[in-house]
Amino acid sequence: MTESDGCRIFVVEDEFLVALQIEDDLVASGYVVVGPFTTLEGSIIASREQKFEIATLDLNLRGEFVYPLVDELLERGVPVLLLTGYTAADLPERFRALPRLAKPFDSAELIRQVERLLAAR
Amino acid sequence: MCSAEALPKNLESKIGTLDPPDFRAMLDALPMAVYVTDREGFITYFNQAAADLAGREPELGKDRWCVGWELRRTDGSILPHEECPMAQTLKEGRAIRGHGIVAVRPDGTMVPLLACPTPMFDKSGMMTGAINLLVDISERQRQQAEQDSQFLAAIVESSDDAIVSKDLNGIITSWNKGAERLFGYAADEVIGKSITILIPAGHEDEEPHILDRIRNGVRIDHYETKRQRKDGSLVDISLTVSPVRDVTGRIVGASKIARNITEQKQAERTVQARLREQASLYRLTEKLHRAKGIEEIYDAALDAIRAALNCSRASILLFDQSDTMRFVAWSGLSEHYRHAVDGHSPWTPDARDPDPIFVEDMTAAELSDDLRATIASEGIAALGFIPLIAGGRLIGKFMAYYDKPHVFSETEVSLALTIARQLGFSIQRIRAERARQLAEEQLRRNEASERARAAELQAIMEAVPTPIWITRTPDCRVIDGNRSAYELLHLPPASNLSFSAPADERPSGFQIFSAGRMLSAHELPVQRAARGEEVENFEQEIRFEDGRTRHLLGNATPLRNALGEAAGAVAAFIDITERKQTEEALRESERRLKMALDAGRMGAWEWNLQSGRVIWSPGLEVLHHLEPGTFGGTIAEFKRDIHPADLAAVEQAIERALATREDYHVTYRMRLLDGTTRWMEAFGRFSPPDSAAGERLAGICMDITERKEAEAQRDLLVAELSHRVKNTLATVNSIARQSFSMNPDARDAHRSFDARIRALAQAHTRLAEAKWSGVSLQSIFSDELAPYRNEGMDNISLDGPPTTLPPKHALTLGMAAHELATNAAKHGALSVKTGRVSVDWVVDSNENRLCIRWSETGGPPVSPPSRNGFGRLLLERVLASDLGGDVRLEFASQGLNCTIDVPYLRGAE
Repeated sequence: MTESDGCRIFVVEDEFLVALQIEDDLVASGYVVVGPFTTLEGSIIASREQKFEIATLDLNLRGEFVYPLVDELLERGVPVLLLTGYTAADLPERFRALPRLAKPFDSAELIRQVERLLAAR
Repeated sequence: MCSAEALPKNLESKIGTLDPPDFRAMLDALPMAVYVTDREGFITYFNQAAADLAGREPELGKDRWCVGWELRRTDGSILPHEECPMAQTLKEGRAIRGHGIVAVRPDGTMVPLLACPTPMFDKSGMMTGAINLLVDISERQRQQAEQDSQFLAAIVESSDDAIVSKDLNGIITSWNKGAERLFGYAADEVIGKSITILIPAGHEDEEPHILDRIRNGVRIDHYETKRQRKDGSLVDISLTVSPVRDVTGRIVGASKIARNITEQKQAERTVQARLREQASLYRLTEKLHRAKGIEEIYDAALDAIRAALNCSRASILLFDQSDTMRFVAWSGLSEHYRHAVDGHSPWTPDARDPDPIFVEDMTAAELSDDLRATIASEGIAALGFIPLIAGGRLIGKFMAYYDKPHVFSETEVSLALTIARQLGFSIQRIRAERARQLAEEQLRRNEASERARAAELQAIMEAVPTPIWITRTPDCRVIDGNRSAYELLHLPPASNLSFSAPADERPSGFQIFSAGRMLSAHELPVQRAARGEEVENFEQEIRFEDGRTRHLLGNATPLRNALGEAAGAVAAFIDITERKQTEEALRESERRLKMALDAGRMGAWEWNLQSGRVIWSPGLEVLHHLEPGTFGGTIAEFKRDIHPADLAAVEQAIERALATREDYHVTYRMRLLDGTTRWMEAFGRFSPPDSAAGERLAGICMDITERKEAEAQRDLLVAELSHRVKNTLATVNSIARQSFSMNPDARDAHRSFDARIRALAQAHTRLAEAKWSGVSLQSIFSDELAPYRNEGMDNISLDGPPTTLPPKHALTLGMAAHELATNAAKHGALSVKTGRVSVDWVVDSNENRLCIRWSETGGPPVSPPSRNGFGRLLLERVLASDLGGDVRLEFASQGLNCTIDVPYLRGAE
């Protein structure tokens, strides 16, 4: 798992118990978790200050959508994995092609998606 | 000799002075015949001389008027007694003097005498009878005759006329020089022979007849006959035969005077021919005048031609329509001949005043062999062509045919021309008459067809289901209607429909209104039309007294006389009551539609594909934020309002509809000039292709912005639901992992997991009950603590202001309450009977924070837990993270205290 060693992953998830699981899974695979962040404002600020390679984002943060953050990250060339209960049809057109993992997710699948994003980087 | 006239007129009075016996003796002795009668004519006296004269003895009181046996006139004819001079005197009361008669005695001898009857009167002047004096003149006559006969003999001998006498047996007794000249016989050749030597064959029975008459004393005057001369030739004579009597009047023979009348006869024949010709012309004129038909004219003309021109056959030919001369009438011509010469004419129709042509001898005429043969075989030896002129034009000819060569006299030529003139005139007259009859017939037919048409129109008028009013006078005092009109107005047929009528004749039961106003008589359409106005599309309403109304629409037009003046009017109306009601219903329907469109934020539109014109309802203009009536009516103007992003889709929908003629349906956004965006949905359908107005696409537009927004909201909610459900499942997933990974006791871990899931479900239930609007803080804790509540011990208290938690708070606090309650039940205050849990909370509205404090007392001694279990993780990290709050756990000796301080915006729920 040398590839993942020290690799930083920006996590945005407002549901603490879910965030806890993401964090557990990533940490267990040797990644460093930045976050998790639970609000849009907080996550945007953090994303500009912190260093990370990829981001896993929940879409709905207590009623606020993270689209501005997604746009910003995509602009910066940061690979984004959407972790959400929304279906593709619920998403704005421009985000439908993004890698997406439906909740509730399988830990192994999460790690595979993260690895794929990193490999494609 | 004593003349009767010499007797005194007052004989009676003179006689009356004589002594009567002397008077009687004197009369008896008188050598002259005297007799007396009473006033009735019966003989009362006669003398001997009278009896001698009469040759008989008269019977007194029986013989009447006359003593004689028989009387004759001097010419030998019988004189009835009642006509004798005596009878006349008695009848007329006057004297007659010297009237010569002949008395025939019973022995047959005759006595010529003069009668001199004189009436007799009594003193009062009453006629009592008459006296007659008869004078025998036989002797005087005999002497006279002797003188006369010598004189007459000289006359006879010198007369040019043949004078012959014969006896009663027809034997010639005398023969004068005239007879010698006329008959060629000398006197001595014929005297003593029978007169019959002069009678030619065929006249044999004349002589016995003549002799019979002579014997009876009847004279024959100017009997025209023929006699044969000695040389055998016949001579026309006029014969007068008289009886010859002896002195006593006895017929002893006859004298004949014969006059040569040959020349006279010739002249007579000529005159008669002229007369016949004139008569034929006269008859022709009369027949032509009376002729009813052309055939009668032809017949009369043919008769006249034959009679006047002395021909045996005749024909009439006229030009037909192709100007060919055709036989129209003929007599005595064979069909073969007519056929052979048909069309031959010496003249063309344009010949001016042609002269008649007379061919006196066909053998000398210049003719083709064929024609000559034809004419010869018909036995025609001479011909006359006489032109017929009518109205200055040659119309034909008539022909006279002769069996023998014929010299046409001037008279014949003149007659032919006269007949031709009359015939021509008559044909013209008949033709004109025929033309007039045809014209009259045409007129009658026209009149008949006019009448038929009028009757037809009348029938139609009665039959049409539309009311009609008619007036035939400009003042409209009487207006008639057809059946429909009377039915409409509920009036008896033939009643007067005029409001211009005298008051007692006017119709009643209704009034007429127009535009809501009652019309006076002169404003009514029929009355207006009768004044010369064309009243068109006049709408009137008939209001009946019973409240019913009928609406009528129609026209009234003047009826004009030959001078063009309005002489009446006619009006026809249709009952539009139902239509009015329908229109009203339609208006109502349109109003409702408009209301519906308005209420539904809809507008109607129509696109005429032919003209390209687009019509919008006012409602659609409103939807487009246009002032009513300001839409420009073009597709371009419609497209201008379409959101650029949706324009292509709309255009595509229109294209598809036009291509397929299927219904048009599209949803699009409008971006209006004022910057607002609205969602629209349009439906359209094509009008039937045979529509006269051109093909149209018509439909409605609906503002569906609210619906779109609702749909978006719904989509959002669905997404939100999906998000929450999946988040919840993810949470459950996480809880499971935490429950099972942290607790080495699988059974305990399982129970804990179940309880946590139930708590989560309980919080969801509360949220669902409140439609996710929020859950009261008290119910969250109350639910979790309820299983441990001991009413008698009052072991649980909840205290705080009513506080509604948003869903997120409710779920997270629900789970926190669950962990606190299960921990208290397992290890804390609620694990013993004396233990007590109190939950109280305050809301700091200044700081917008909610502070909840959980305190346990009376439980077993508390020590901090050896490991960080899920409950603590949840309380310390989940609450802090999810709610952004502070959670402080204080493991005091008397029991656990937990303080939860979270941001709380009271209005946020």
